[in-house]
Amino acid sequence: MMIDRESRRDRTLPTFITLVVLAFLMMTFDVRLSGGGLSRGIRSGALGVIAPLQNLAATVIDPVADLGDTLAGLATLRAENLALRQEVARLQAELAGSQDLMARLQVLEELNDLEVIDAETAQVAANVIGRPDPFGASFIIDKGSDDGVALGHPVADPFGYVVGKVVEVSPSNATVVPITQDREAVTVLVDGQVGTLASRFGSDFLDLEVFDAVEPLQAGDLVVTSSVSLTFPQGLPVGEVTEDAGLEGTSISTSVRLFADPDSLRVVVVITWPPEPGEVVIGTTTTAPPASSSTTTSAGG
Amino acid sequence: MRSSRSVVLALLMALVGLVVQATLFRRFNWLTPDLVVLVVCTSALTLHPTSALLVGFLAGAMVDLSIASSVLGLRALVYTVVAYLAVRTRTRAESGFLAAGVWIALLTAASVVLLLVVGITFGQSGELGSQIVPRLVQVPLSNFLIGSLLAIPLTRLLQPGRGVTV
Repeated sequence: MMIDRESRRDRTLPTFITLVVLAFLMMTFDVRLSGGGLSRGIRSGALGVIAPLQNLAATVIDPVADLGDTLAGLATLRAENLALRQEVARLQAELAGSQDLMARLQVLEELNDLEVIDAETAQVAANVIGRPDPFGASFIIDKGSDDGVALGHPVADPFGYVVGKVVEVSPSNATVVPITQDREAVTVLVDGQVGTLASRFGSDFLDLEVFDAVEPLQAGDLVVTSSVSLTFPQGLPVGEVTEDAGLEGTSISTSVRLFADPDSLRVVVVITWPPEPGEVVIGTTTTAPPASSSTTTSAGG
Repeated sequence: MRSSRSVVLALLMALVGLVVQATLFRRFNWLTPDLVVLVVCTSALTLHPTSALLVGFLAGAMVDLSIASSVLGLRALVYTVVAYLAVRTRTRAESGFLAAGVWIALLTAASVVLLLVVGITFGQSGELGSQIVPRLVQVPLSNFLIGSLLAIPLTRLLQPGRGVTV
């Protein structure tokens, strides 16, 4: 019995080495395949198993936790309620004005025979149901391919600020990686100049590089997605320049603070863009054809 | 037979830990445990060493699969190393719940550092997140708190008859 135990104990080191080598092989293959191939299929299947469990847990935990938060903030609720009533009254007045404008717009569209693309149909609101990694900020949402969410779709917060993009999809769930953790840079427009925005290790800030700069940037300059971006529709607000940056030859390097806070998001909006899978519309058209007003190209990330 | 049942039970516990961590603890910025490491350490206290290594590897692979942006095998490697360290040092945890908590915290700190080093080596620096520096301290501390409370119940849950006391 003792000999048997001893011989089994001896297998610890060989087993350890085997598993470590296996893990290294998995990492090497995954890096070489860039997360595609077989591993993408396995991940999608795993998301299909884990996400429903997280959804179930979130269904149980969130109301209880929300109740706790509410009870903790009970003292401020009355004042908040009063302020919200005033806000509702103000918004109702604005809504009435907007409805009048919409009616007039509709009449004008009919007169000019225009077909307007409805931006609302291109958005899917989703709840954040889980953050599996205590280190990373990637998160799982409760909408998937059944709801029109697809790989690469941009994700914004409820205010329309850029958050990240969808990197994994199952029928009922999807995984979103914020741009602060994305390996791919985002093409942006700042002060009329095109630049790239890349994540920075261990920081909430992003690195902005403008290569064909013509004028310096100032703190507070608005950074929006560019029309040449293949991953985001143009004009989405991303963040702001944090410090003045002068020209270094024809380039500028500075840092950008993201408007959205990916760590505290509870609700996000998935933008089903580009409208046709595999195609990106470049241009500023807000109406349907004429066909010559826009060009299409393959999506490349 | 009993060993494989314990491995499956440990993996189920790791799955529950992963779900709880992703849902409940995402609401707290100050309490950020790595419950899967906790389960791996607990497995090393109760299971046969090779079974504990297997739990570390499979639990890590499960976490890798659940994080789409992570390279597959990163946490499998890290948790296997943690399981090995835990197997080799498990006698240090047997003098009480506080010792178990400190032991788990130290192993968690090792896992965080290893994750950082291997992650950067394999180009995962961006995916490790902007909170990596504070997490270097928060995750081991959180695991110390939760490990001190849960180590004994978890070992009893894994192998009720074995009589391993923490």
